[in-house]
Amino acid sequence: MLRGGELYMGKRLPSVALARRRRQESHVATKQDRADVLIVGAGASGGIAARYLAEAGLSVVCLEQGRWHDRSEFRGTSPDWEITGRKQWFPNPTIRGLAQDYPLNEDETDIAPLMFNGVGGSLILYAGVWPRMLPSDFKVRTLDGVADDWPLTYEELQPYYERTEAQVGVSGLEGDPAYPPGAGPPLPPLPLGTGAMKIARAHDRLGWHWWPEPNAILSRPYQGRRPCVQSGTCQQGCNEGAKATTDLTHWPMAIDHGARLITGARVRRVVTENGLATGAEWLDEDGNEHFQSASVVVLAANSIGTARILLNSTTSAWPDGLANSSGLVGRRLMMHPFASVTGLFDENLESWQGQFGCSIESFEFYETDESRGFVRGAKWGLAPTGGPINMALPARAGESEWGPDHHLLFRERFGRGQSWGLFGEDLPNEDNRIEIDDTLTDPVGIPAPKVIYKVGENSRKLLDFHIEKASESMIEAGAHKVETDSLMRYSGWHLLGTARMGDDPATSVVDRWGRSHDIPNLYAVDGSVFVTSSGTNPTSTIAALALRTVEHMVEERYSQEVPV
Amino acid sequence: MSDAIGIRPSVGENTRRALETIGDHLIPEAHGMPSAGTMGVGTTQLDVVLASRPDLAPLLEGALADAKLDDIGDFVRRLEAEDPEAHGAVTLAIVAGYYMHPEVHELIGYPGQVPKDAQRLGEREIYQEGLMDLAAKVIERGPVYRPTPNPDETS
Ligand SMILES: Cc1cc2nc3c(=O)[nH]c(=O)nc-3n(C[C@H](O)[C@H](O)[C@H](O)COP(=O)(O)OP(=O)(O)OC[C@H]3O[C@@H](n4cnc5c(N)ncnc54)[C@H](O)[C@@H]3O)c2cc1C
Ligand code: SF4
Repeated sequence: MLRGGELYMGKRLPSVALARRRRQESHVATKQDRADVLIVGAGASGGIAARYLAEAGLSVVCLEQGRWHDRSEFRGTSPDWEITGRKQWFPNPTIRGLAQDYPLNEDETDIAPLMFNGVGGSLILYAGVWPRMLPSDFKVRTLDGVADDWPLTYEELQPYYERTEAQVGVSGLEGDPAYPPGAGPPLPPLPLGTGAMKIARAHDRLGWHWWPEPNAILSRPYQGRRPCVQSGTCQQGCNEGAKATTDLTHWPMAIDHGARLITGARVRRVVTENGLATGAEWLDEDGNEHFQSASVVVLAANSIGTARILLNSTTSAWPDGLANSSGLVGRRLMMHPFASVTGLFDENLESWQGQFGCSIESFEFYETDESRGFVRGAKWGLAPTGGPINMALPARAGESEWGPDHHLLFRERFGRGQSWGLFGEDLPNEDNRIEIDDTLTDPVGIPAPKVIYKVGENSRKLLDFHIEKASESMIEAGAHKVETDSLMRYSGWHLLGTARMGDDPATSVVDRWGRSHDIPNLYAVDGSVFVTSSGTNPTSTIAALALRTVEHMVEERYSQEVPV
Repeated sequence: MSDAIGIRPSVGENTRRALETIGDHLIPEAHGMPSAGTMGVGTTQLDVVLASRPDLAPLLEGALADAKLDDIGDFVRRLEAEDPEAHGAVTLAIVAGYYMHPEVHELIGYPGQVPKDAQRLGEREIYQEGLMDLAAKVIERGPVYRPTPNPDETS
């Protein structure tokens, strides 16, 4: 099926040429040739897929609604980093409201989804925490009698974890007993700092698990990128390029191998004919309509964006959304209910600085213990507490204090905190879902999603238990005060599950290789394919799965059905 | 940054004065720290904030242009209850103006988000004293994961 690759100019582009091409790509002609593979979304999974496919010699076109971001745009080196981080660089698109965003109806969700739309996707603002899922995460039905098993095991994914860790440059320490043996991260861990060392010692006394957190943040120069300088502004964009984002780690290589990345291109729907995808309709920034033809379509628009596209791609054959014979497209949305437990210490820990990112993690209470009254558990990640504005405003854990004592409270908190972030496993629930909103649209008129999500009883009990245990950790470490914040609204960092994978077409949207059960040349490679959420930060797993999917696609290319 | 979201910031004199008054109420001079009003949260620091966050201007203007501030505490409480978005804008403008002031940085011992010299990431900083010994003890305590079940057990 797939033609040989069309090398784009056949050579590495110097940066000036690259910049020129980026400009040109925002203004492409209306008529497009058929690509071997069309990818929708240039974020984490889109970048990984594009690089592999282009390096394998296939012609790749990617449509991305956002644009390229130059590192100089990020506000981390400017005094206004904290206030622009609450608006222009805020991770919720409804609040941010940039031209490349699409709005969400969030009236019926307990947790507001977070994302970024641009080349690099949500990685532009992510924290860079890069842990793998654990073996039990793939088999929760067998082990704990809840939810569903994945159609693959940790061991099957392990080589892809190792390869993607090498691609992005993960820093960490080999030998974590929370995982089976295998290759460790390619780079040494990032510095823990005084606060994390206090907590590591406390866990040592308690006999609890802790380990340096793996982060996709460089502790050493790596593949032409500079190491982390501990500036602590990772979630406003990394000015150094030390945090791995696919605009740095994958897109340049994909483009070098001929991939065409078209920015400012909003995909409205995937088009099908005779049961196969033929390409996608998209609109440019001025609202002009285009069609990109392709032999294979790969959705990488994240769990909300991919569900939105499928639900918008209705036809008479697919009145409830494309590839939706299971009725599960958009359903089983998981977002990891989150709590934070902040310990305040007497000494100045300079906790406005350091990777933001985590320093250490704990899986001590990760596995199910039924005596606790809930199933599954949470991963803990320890982070600094932020700059002065964050600590003076009552946005995170803690009460506001105005009047003369404001200064005392501020002094007590600023620079002296360490915060355990608790990511609870979110069990899938078909009622938690993405729908298409009746009236809301993006700036070019494409119907926008509505998010319907309620935090389940299991999650509430789970977080209560973990808050208690994390408080014990802080007190053992010497914290004189512990502040907690449970079920934060703006904590939908992890968007998962709306096109789950599985062996049975009646109960899953894509198969174990990310391919639609209904449309054999349509794939999903983003977090939508997750069967269960685990309690870990998901991007390392999204990356590993994306690589596994496209590798299989290339291996099987001669039997791939494509439109004539 | 104002171009980024395309709104020109402008607030009137009443709003500026009200911010100063409320600023002095929320963050007064005490414990060796200056008040928010004296740090310019209604004047120069407000301009600094609005240059980066022009979207705050209409919210501040709407809440404060005609504000009666006989009882400042009561005004702030009512604003919080009746218009949380405007209340958020007022407190953010005051807190941001105050804590972005270089003199306040000096007083609270905050150097800004300074990049640490790459040397900081030398072996000594990465493998801090005790780190490897502590990690060895975690390994000694044994695996904490449940292995993948045997395929026969899988449902
Ligand atoms: C603030 C923040 C912190 C986070 N921290 C972490 C962390 O520390 N560790 C971790 O594991 N994860 C973290 N995450 C989550 C992580 O960013 C995501 O898991 C990851 O980026 C998902 O990859 P993806 O490929 O599924 O989607 P994304 O990276 O979100 O990319 C999707 C892309 O598709 C594009 N797109 C969507 N719809 C369309 C359309 N119709 N037409 C054209 N283009 C479209 C979007 O513009 C976007 O660029 C964080 C996220 C946020 C927001
Ligand atoms: S702390 Fe490191 S990764 Fe984070 S923004 Fe600074 S340099 Fe980048």
